[in-house]
Amino acid sequence: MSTRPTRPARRWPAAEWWAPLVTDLAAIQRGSASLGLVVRRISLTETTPSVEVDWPDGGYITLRPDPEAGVPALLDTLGAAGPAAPPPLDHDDMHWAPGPDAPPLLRYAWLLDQLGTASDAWYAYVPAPVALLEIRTDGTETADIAVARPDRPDAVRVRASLAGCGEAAGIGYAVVERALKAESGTPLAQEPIAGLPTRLVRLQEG
Amino acid sequence: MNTVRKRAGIAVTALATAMGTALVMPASAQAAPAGPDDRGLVEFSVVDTGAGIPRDHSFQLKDLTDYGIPRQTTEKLAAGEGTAAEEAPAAADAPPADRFDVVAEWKDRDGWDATMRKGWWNGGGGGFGLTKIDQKHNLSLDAVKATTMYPRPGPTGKEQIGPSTYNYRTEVLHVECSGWWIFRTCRVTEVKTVLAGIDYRKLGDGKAFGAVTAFCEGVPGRCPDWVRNAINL
Repeated sequence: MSTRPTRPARRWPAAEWWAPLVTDLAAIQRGSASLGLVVRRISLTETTPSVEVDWPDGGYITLRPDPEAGVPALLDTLGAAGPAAPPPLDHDDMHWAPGPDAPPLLRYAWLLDQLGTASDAWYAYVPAPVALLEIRTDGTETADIAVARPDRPDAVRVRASLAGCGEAAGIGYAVVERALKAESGTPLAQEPIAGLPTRLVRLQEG
Repeated sequence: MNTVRKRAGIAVTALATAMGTALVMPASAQAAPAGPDDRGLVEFSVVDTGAGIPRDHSFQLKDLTDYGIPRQTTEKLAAGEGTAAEEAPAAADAPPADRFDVVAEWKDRDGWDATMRKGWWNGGGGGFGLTKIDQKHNLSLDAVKATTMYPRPGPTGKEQIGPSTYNYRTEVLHVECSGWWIFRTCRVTEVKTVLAGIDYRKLGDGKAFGAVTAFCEGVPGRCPDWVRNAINL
């Protein structure tokens, strides 16, 4: 068990380094869902994160931002590639879970929010820290959260149904717990992550 | 030092009063049967409110009053009196309609308005609020209140981990005593840290979403019963 993040964020020293980025991208995904913007993939396997964003007209951009760049800076960069908008002014003050009937991209925004605001799940909730490797979505049905476990030669891609994410609270805890329960015999996914063979499990089976 | 202890004692008494709960003995607070070989073993647990209960050397059971535990509580421990722990209800299949109902409101260490909602738990990793905290993690409303009202001293007692989300930590001490009545010799045998996460973003009722979850650090499942049954909860 670790009581501190493996790599503390500057903005919130009790949070993991990626928490500000994921939280900021949640805000942008919320503000830009109606514009079709999709934060398609957030890769956290290297020191500098990689973020892939696309739009329905085929536009796309890949960023390698400072994880603490902040919403305005991220919006400036994204705005050069396609339409992007900030969240409502009360974004940080009002609980905005969109509910189970909201559009998928809003439910995905909420999933990102919940992952970003509970990064203690990755170091304080479990006997040994686990690593968040990647978040990605198909934009309509599912989001995959990839997890590396200590002393294991493989990674786990936990697949969450966006249908169940409109109201979920603290979903990071559930993702981490599900990843730790993944058996060695679980089928491998097609794509490895960070060179690790990767198993695919569904969150709801946990 | 005495002044510090007295202040901490007042804090513990205030904690019990603020929670509106009677101090009861947990099932674990039981003395061994009397007899010629009896060592008078008593086990209990206590939330460390900063009263200075020593973790690295022994103390006497009667000293608990110096650490803010009421004398009646100490005497009940000495007599080996206890009560049974509550049994948790079963998990729900689907989120109930009343999951956002507020079941408690209180002030955290800094006077912030904290909230506990009824919540729900699906039997796995899903859910929030009191139902999940109680059924999945075997912690009570009073444990969350104590953790937020009396977090451990220093910067790690209350920490921001998101735009409006804060984690609180406090320690619960498991104590074993042997000997006779209030003169038993006691020592701390185990320490667990309780972590409670509070989301201060407001819902439509104007109150904070409140407790997302609470757990023993490093324990994804149930906290030990002795954590839940601390004598000053």
